[in-house]
Order: sequence, then structure tokens, then C-alpha cells
Amino acid sequence: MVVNQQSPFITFVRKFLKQHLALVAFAVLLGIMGVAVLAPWIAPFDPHRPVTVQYADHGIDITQLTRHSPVLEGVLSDGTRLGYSDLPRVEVGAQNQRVVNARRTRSGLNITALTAGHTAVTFSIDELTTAMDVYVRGEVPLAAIEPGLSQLTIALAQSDFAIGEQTTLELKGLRSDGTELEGQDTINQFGTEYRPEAPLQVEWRSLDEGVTSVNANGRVDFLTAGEGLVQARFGDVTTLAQFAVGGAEVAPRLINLSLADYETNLTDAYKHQRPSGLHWFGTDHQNRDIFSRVLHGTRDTLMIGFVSVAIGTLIGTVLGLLAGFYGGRIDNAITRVMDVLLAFPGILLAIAVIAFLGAGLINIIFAVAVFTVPVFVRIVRASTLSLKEMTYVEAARSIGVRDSVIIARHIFPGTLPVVLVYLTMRIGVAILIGAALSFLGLGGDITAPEWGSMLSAAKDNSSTVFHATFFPGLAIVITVLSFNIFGDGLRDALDPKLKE
Amino acid sequence: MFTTRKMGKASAALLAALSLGTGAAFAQQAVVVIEAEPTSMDPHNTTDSVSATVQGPMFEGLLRFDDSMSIVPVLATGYSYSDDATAITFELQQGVTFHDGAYFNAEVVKMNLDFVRDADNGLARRSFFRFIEDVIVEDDYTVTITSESPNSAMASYMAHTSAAMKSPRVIERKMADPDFNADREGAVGTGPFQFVEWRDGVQTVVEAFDGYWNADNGANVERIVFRPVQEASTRINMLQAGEAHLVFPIPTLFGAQLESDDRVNLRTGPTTDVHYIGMNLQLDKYQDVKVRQALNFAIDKDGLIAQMLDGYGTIADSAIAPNVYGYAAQEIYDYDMGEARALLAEAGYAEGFTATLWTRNSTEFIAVAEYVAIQLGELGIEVTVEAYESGTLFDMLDAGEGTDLFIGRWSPGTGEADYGLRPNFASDRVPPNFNNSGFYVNEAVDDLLNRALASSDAQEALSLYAEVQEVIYDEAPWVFLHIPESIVGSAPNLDGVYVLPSGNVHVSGISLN
Repeated sequence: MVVNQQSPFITFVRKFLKQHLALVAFAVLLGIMGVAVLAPWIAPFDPHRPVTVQYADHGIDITQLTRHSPVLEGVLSDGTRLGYSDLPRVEVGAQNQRVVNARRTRSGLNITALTAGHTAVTFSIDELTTAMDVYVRGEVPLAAIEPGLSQLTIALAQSDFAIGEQTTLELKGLRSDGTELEGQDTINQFGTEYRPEAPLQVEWRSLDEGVTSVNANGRVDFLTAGEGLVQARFGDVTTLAQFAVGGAEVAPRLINLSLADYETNLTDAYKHQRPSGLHWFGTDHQNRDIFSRVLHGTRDTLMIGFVSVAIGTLIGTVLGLLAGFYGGRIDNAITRVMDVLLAFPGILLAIAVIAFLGAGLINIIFAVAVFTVPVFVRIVRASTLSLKEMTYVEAARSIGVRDSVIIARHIFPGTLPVVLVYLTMRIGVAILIGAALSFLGLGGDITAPEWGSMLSAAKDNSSTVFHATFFPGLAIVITVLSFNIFGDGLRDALDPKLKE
Repeated sequence: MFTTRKMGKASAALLAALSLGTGAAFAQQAVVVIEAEPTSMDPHNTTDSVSATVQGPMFEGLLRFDDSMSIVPVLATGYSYSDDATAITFELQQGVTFHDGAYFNAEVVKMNLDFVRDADNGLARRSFFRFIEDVIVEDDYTVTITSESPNSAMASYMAHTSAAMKSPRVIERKMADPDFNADREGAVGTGPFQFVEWRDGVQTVVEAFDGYWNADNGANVERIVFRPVQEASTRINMLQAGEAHLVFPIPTLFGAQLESDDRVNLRTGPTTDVHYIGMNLQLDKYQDVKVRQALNFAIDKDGLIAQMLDGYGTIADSAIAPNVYGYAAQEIYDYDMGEARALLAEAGYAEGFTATLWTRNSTEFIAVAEYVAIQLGELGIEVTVEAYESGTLFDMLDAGEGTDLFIGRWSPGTGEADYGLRPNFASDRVPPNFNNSGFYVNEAVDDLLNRALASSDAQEALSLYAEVQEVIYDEAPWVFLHIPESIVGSAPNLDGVYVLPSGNVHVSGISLN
């Protein structure tokens, strides 16, 4: 008879290598563990801070993305230009206040993007108004929008007129894209095309008291001596013309406002950025990089899985060995207590433990360990019962070997294959329960990058985008699946009844 | 395929028949979907806005707030203050009957107010009416309310939804039989709609009241059905499917997508809710005003509104909202990390410090708390966020022990400045049991508040309120955050509804075209 002298370990390895799926799962698990260790070095962004504050380190200028500081100048009737600091109080307003927040600050004017869309922003000083178009790009591409009218100018060849004289004012319009509209008719035509349902027209108004009068076509009559003041208005945008009538002395006054740019493109980069080259998994509701968070979450998740199952296995195996070996009262006591624990569904038991201990990562580990114990007690006790009857155990006992040695040397190694298989499978379950507990908000720190709490936060805050829930969920699925497939392969390889 | 088509034809025919027979009546039923079950049908025992909204069509008070938070007379025809502002006299509407046939007069007003103020009756709104010293019936249709100290905010109190008038018969019945459940059966008011049924978790139904006194503002629909639906996305689906005519509240996250939906008409309106981070001024680290201002400068409010509110909000530029009577805008603490760092360094905290931020455990509060914690982290202040159930949190704040940073929301139900400022900033309102959870003590603020309340001259009161708001905003006992907008979704054919800044939705005038 030829005896196969191959060591059991070599047999196991050979059998395992034949399980291709389990091998792949094992490789994936090694990868995941590598990520868990290396996460702080390989994650592109800090998982606790919004990406916007980190762009500077990556060479991206965020202020250009969400903020714009318009440069406003005032034009006096004598042609002098006044900088912002010399101007009186400017009123700033956005037509659609949801799109941008436009306001005066201590340092100047400021437009901050809020959500995707288009709006006109107006700047006014008393009777003067100029406007700019602001486009905020977001997830959805903006519909094509006609550039609106930004500025009106009255071209004035002379400003001194005698009483009884007449002049027709030349009006010039400027659209936000830089197109010029020459003359009132062109502007009116634009007003009809721009908003056919409620066409805008140029309106003229005399602001002085009886010095001038102006008709609908911009023809001004000079009636009495004094300072004449005529306003042209198109929608919100206005400009003024100042006259010295009948030789009156007039001080220069502000007749127009002008901006350095009449068009600004901003980006809604505040949250929920889609997966892109910069952010592989997109960003979450606090604008944190989900890819980095998933990587960082690996450690906590694996820690919950490994540590809790290790504790559970240790306690469970010891108790199982004692119960199986000694039988009688000890067996009874241990088994009954474990039956009580097994009567609860796992998650319920874990929640009960958390309710007792309070939320937190350590307590989650402990809770999962508690519900892992009874399962191991059962399987270890069962195999101990059968191993106890083996001849070699009987032989050891008959020559007076101490109980502790018999348990440690002769019985425990026999239970190892079952324990190992179950341990691997159990890690998957433990990760799931851990994720479920933090999903339920029992994980303590709600801001921590932990897969379960990421899912929970995404459910509450990001229900309209897919990537916030998808990627943490995928990470859980892959990890748990890998552990299960690996455990399956391990069982097949360790089962002596299965032929090679 | 064949059967389906046949079925389709048959049901179409059935629908046609139905609409022929009952089409008119069907169109006259308005379905309003709300977020929760009402808790009571007794306005004097109601503190939540859902119940107040459901009671709205059935009950009226002497006065009410219109959509711009101005006070308009309802059961009163007018009112006047005494010169020292310690008494307010109402002239009452004549010919008003309750749904049960009882008549409305000055005696009824006294009966209502005396009943709610009586501690033995244990009504939730008792403390709201604490300002009343006595109710005096001058004649059948004239009634005077007096207060111990001058109080120019009494009209605002009487315009609140909880100052509604119940039928005297309900009160008599309750007095005769303490077991009578006024919360379930006490819905008898003078409003354009009368109570039909309230089935738990299913619906509350009111129908038009024929004997309504005010023909100009009577019911425009036959019935209003209120259905509680907790899940926001379900409410929105019901509106899109035409199962509901009016739906609120709508989370801001859905706002943008609904704005481009033809089946839905979105109404947004500013609320009077000021969201803030309170700080415990008893702690050394918040004693220096520079630290408090630094915290204000360190929070990017625009980012917060863009991120947490999807643009549906404005920056809080005072301790009270623009829709509150007496509001005066202040120059906001514009996001400026340089300024924040400098101020913190001047105060001797260049290295930052650690803090604990208490928040309620509902989604929107947690998200804001998380945001604030991240932003303060940039300043070197390490913030731990702790979320608690709102009842627990209020108890902790009222106890006043161990408070550090806390996130709060305050909206004065009366819509005027005193109720917006006094509970949060007056030095006699510190814990235990009062709302000044940050222990802000400033005699100048106390003095200004007292003088404003005692003033019967509206202009003088306004300028005093403006002054006190400036002091508070400069002293920065709060980190002033934002004022959210409320979003209500309605069917395109719905009209006559407005959202009060206090969060109640006024549905009495609902009509369907």
C-alpha cells in the first residue's frame, strides 16, 4: 500500500488554488487590506474637508469658480471716471436670488454663485442702473440664453443749449456679450426679439423740474434756464444726460455706470459634483471627495469586521471547547445562555448592546462581537463533542494527560478548519451589521468617513443624485461578497470529504 | 393586448359617466397633503404648525396676519391702545355665529381668554397668554384686554393662530364634563369651513359652512381634505399624479427639479426662522467679543445656503428675520478667513480651541452642524458634533449645564421684534427654564427692549428695536446663519393660498379653477 506522504497543508493549498473564484476574492481582499493600510497616502483628497478648500493645493483657483467681484466705475458728465471707493452707496440685486447672491461688502462688490441657472444682476446708484448677465453652470447644461442689455449710453455732442432749442438724443446700447446696438430703433427691435411675450421699449423721462421736456423718440425741448436732466430707461437699465440750459452753471454729476465685464461664468461647485477625472466618485453633500472617503472608510470597516469577529471567535471557541469537553452542568449553563442570545435576531441584539453602551465605533465592535459569540460556541461545541470520542483523545486521557493539554493539543486543532471557515464568512456578516448600525446613526461620529454612515447621510441629503449612495454601497457589496466567496473556497479546500 | 384595450375603453366610458354625474362636485374638493398628523383640534392646545394649518379654515381670531405679516382685523372691526400701552380695546364684528349656532360677542371673547389662562385647564397655550392681566367686557361688542406692564405687542399676540375663538358651548361642555375631549371634538369656530371628520393617519375633512358671516371671504370649494404623508417624495409624487392639490413642505433638494415641471406650481416665501449657532458666554473662550465675531466671519453663509438649502434662503442679517415687525438690517459678517484669524489671534486664541456642538438629530440640522464644524475646523477650532433628539436637546439647554455651542432656530410666533429678541437675549431669561441658553447678559439690551415694549409710539419703538438689533449683531452672541424659504407645491389650477412666514399655510381661501 502506497501512503500519500503529502502534508495536509500542501494538500489544502493545492485544493484552494483550484478554486479560481475564491482566488480572485482572496486577491481582492488583499487589495482591500492594502487600501486600508495605505489610504492616508493614496487618497487624493482629505476626506474630512470640502474639496473646494483643497483645490488651492491641487492648483485649482476656487474663487474664480464661485465668486466674482465686479469692477464698477461711475462716469461723470464731464467725462471723469470714478472708482468704486469714490462712488456713493451702490444697490446690488439679483433678479433670481436663488442663482446668485449679489451684495455690497466692505471690500467691494461681490457675486457668489448659489445654484445652477442664469440671472441678471443690477447695480444702481439713485437713477442710474447697469446690469450684467451671470451664468452659473451646474449638473444640468444651461439652455441657450440671449445676452441681455447691460448698459445704455447717450452720446452728447454738446451739453450747453439755449432756451427754446431742440435736440434729439443718440442712444447706444451694449449687450452683455459686447454687441453694440446703435440707435433707439435697434434697441427697441432687440426688446421685441428678446422677450416677444412682453416686449421692452426705450422710455424717456425728464427728471428736472420744467427745464426740459422729452418725447418718446428722445427729442428734448429746452424750456427754462437751469440744469436739465433726461433719463433713458430700457427695462431696469438706465442712463442720464445732463444739460446746462440758458447759460446756467451746472456741477458735473454722475450720468452713467460701467462695469469691467458684463458677463460672468461661475460654477455651482458647492456639492454633489458628478464623477469626473478630478473626483472619480464625485463629491457628497458637504462637497467632500467620495473616492477619498471610501478609501479612508476601508480601515474602520475592516476594523469592525476583523476585531469584532476576532473577539467573538476567541470567546466563542473557549466557551465551546469547555462546554463540549466537560459536558454536564457547565455545558448546560453555557448552552442555555447562548440559546437566549441566539433567540434575538443579530441586528436587534447589536442595537440592544449599543442602546446599553452608547454610540461609538468601539461599542459597535463590541456589539457585533456579542452577537458573534453564540454561533461559535455552537459549532465548536459540536465538533468538540465528536472529537472527544476519538481514540487518540481517549489514549491521551488514559495515560493521564491533563485536561487543559488535551483541549489545547488534541481537540482544539481539530476544530480549527470549521472555525476558520466560519470566521471568514462571519467577517462579511460583521461588516454588514457594522454598516447597518452606523447607517442607523449608532456609529457615534456622524461626520466620520465610514461606509454605513456615508450611505445614511447620502440617503438623507443626496436622494436626487446616484453617486453619493452608489459608491459606498458598492464598496460594502464588494467587500462582503469577497469575504463570502473566499470563505466558501476555504471550506471546500479544507473539507477532507471533497476529492481533489 | 385585446383585453387591455377593451378594459381601457370600458374604464374610459366609466370615467366619462362619473365625470358627467359628479364632475362638478369632484372639482370642488381640494386635497391638501401635509407632513404629519395634526395633534389637536383645539387652537388653545396647539403648538405645532401642522395643527394650526388644519384648524385655520375652521377658526378665526380677532385679528390675523396677512401674507406680508401685517395685522388685519377679522372678528374685530378695529382696535386701539390706551396711551400708556397697558390696555388694548377691540370693537367686535356683529352678527357672527359659530358653526353650532352660538353667537359671538364680547362675553365669548372673555370666556375664551379666561378659559385658556386658567392653569386648571392645562392648555398648552396658557403661557402664551401670560401677558394678559384681565379681560374686561365694556359692552356686547367692545372688549378690553389689560396687561400689568406696558405692552405694545398685544395686537400681534391677538393675531396669532392660537388666539382663535372657540364656541362658548364647547367651553361650557368642557367645564361641565372634564372627560369631554376638546382636542378631538372641540373644532367649533366661526370660520368659513366646519369640521366633518378626523380619522387618525388617514384624513381630516372640513366642509363649507353655509352660515358664514363674511360673504366676501367665504369658502370657494365644497370640501378640504387634509392627508398626512410623512415621506416628502411621496407627497411630491401625489402632486405630480394629480392626487393632491396642495403639498407642503417640500425639501429644497427637490426644488430645482420641480421648478421646471409643468404639473407643479411652486410657491416660495421667506420664513421668519432665524437659524443660528448659540454659544455659552459663561465659558472663558467666548467671553471676548473678538472670538464671537471671528466665528461669524469664519462661516461661509453663501456656501451654506447653496449647499444645505439649494439656494432657497437668505443670510441672517439680524437676530430677527426681515418679515418680523421691527426688523432692521445690519451689515453682515461676510466670509473672511483672514479677518477671522486676525480676530482670534488678537483674542489670544491663535491656536484655536476645542468645542462641542449640540444639534437636533433631524437631517437638516445635522447637515448644517456638520458644515459649521468643517468650517470652524479651518479656523483651528476643533468641533465635535453631538446629535440629540429635539426634546432631549431642549431639556439640556434649559438645564443650562455643560452647554458649549448649540445650533438653534427661532421664529417669533407673534411676528414682532419683542418675541424675537427678549426670550433669547434678555438677562432675566437665562436658564434654568428660559430660552437665553447662551447666558447673554447686557443691561443696555434689557433697557432698550423694555423701553421699546413700553412705548405706545410706533416710530419710537421701531428706532429702539433697530438700536437693540445693532447692539446684538455687533456683540455677536450668536453665529448668525441663515433664514430659509418655505416651499409649497400646488396644482397649476389652485389659487387663494398663501404661506405665512411663521410656517402656517393659510388655506381658507383655497379655490380650484
